[in-house]
Amino acid sequence: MTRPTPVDLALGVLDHQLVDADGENCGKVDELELTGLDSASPEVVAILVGGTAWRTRGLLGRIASRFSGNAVHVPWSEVKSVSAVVELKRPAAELRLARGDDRWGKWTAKLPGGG
Amino acid sequence: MSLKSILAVALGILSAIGGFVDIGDIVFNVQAGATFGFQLLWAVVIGVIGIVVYSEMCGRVAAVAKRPVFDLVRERAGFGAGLTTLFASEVVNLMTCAAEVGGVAICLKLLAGLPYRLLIVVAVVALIVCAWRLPFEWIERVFGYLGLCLLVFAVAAIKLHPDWGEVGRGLVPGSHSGASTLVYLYFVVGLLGAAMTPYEVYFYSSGVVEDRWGPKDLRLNRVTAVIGYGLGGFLSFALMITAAMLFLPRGIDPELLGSPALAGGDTLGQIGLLLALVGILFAVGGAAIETCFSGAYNLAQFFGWRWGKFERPVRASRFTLSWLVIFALAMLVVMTGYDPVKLTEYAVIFSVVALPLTYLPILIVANDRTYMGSYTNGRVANAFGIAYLVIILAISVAAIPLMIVTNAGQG
Amino acid sequence: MLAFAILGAVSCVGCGGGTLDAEALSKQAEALQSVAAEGALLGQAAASGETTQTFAREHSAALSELAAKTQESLRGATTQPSLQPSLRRLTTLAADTTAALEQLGDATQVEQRELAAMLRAAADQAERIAGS
Repeated sequence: MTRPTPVDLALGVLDHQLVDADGENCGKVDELELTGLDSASPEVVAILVGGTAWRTRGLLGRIASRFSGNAVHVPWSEVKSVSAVVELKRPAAELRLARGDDRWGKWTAKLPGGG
Repeated sequence: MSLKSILAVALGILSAIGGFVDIGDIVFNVQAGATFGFQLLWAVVIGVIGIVVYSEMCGRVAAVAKRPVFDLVRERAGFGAGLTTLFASEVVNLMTCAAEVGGVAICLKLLAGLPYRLLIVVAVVALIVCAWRLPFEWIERVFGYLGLCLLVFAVAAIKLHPDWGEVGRGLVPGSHSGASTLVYLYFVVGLLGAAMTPYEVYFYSSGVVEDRWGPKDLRLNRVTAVIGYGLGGFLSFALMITAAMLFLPRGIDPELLGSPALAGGDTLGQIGLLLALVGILFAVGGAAIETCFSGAYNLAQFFGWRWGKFERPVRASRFTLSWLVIFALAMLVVMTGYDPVKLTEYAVIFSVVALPLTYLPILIVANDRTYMGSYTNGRVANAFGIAYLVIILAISVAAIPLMIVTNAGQG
Repeated sequence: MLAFAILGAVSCVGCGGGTLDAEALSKQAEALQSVAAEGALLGQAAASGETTQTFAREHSAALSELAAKTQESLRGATTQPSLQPSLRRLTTLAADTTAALEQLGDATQVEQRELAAMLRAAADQAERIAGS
């Protein structure tokens, strides 16, 4: 088994662009959920996207989180690769991501030529 | 290379930089010329070099890392700093967009004579329709080429027979005569701020990503930056020189957007006047679209939404609604009747205050090997980048005090 | 908050009425001189056919609004006794300049030439008041 390359979570994952299986933007890595911090091998359980995920990101984050809904939990198992962006294995819709674009898409579709 | 392809590349470069002159440049260069003659031409030179340096960096980052710079601000600076930068950028963007929209309405009034508030609505609707329906190459071409009517100011500058020796001396910073030193410094700050507007580099880097430039386009990136902003600098010279020849001797302090157009009339008659007005109209109109989209790009890139001028609105819906809302807000601001020329002065000064926030991440990212690989800043780029960062920090601190003490240049 | 405070501080120069000292009076005179001089330039250009009629009308209207603002600032203003004559002259000049600019837009070319000459004289007089 090849040795896993270390990834700097703070610089390499947090705040990075999430890209789904279709190559589309679907949010940013707003927060990471870790377990086993007091054990020998802590691991990343999930990526949190949006809303309440901003609560841990400083004062401005707390203010911002008040204006948005609940964060979406994306299990780490859904991550395909971590490079300049964090690529996911499935399309955004299946992971309940980029719902904002879908929600507002209903309105822009109503505008002439919006479809 | 055939003549046809050279022409195509040249035109492509010219239209790529749509907002080479915007209302901030017009207001500050004309007022500087009317107050200090040729003595502030050197400030234009410094400003143009500054934006060429940072624009080249932004373009290089976008072409190599395949991400626009604002996208990377959050990654590099974190959520808090990124959100602060976003907030500052959006406020300044909105003020600038409103000023540009107001400028368009004023030009329309000078050309057509209809009521001002009606023309504000006409202007915003026309700009939205252009941005919504026209492919972006067409927008760049229409606004870019018609903006080139501003070249009438270059002709006017020559026909007014300035003392070219004195003009040359103005290219070197030196002692100044005329109004007070504080007013002089205020204009230095304003001219640098008007030349180095952040929305242009953010808009440009987003475009580089969408047009899928790569490392092989780095030379084109450099040429585009130099020619595009060089042209802007040339036009700024023309504006300052004509103002110096026409207004300074008569003791005129131009406060109206129509004032510089008199230079066109004076030298080339009615045609000159109309070319001047059309040039201002389309340069400022193009800048309105650019500031608006830059605001939408920043929002989408910070939050990770889908974005892109080529995306269908129903897919990149939050991005689309962002730029529509920005135009709507800009319209509301102008509707209050607040003088767009005054608004421009405040927008430029506030932009200067926020400049370090916007330019420092660019310098950091351009030096980051994880994004840039072997294309990080060389010694020359870093030397210029750091020199300008010092300049930017200095003017950022001095901007608001100078504005207050000199009553926005009135002395 | 700070932005509004700054805007308020900066835009309050020349608020109407009140007492004008020598420097404030000079500033008002300079402002009027600038508007009158530009009006003269516009009038000359319009008389020579270098502008469109729409531009002449719209730009002169905008200039007359600026002159009216100076007129408003001077209305009801007081100053020290030695400057009273200058204040009176300037107030009259402001009124004449505003009126001339209002007429400029729709005047015939001959009238525009006359108005331009009148505005140039007003500018000269305002300059003298500013300098004194």
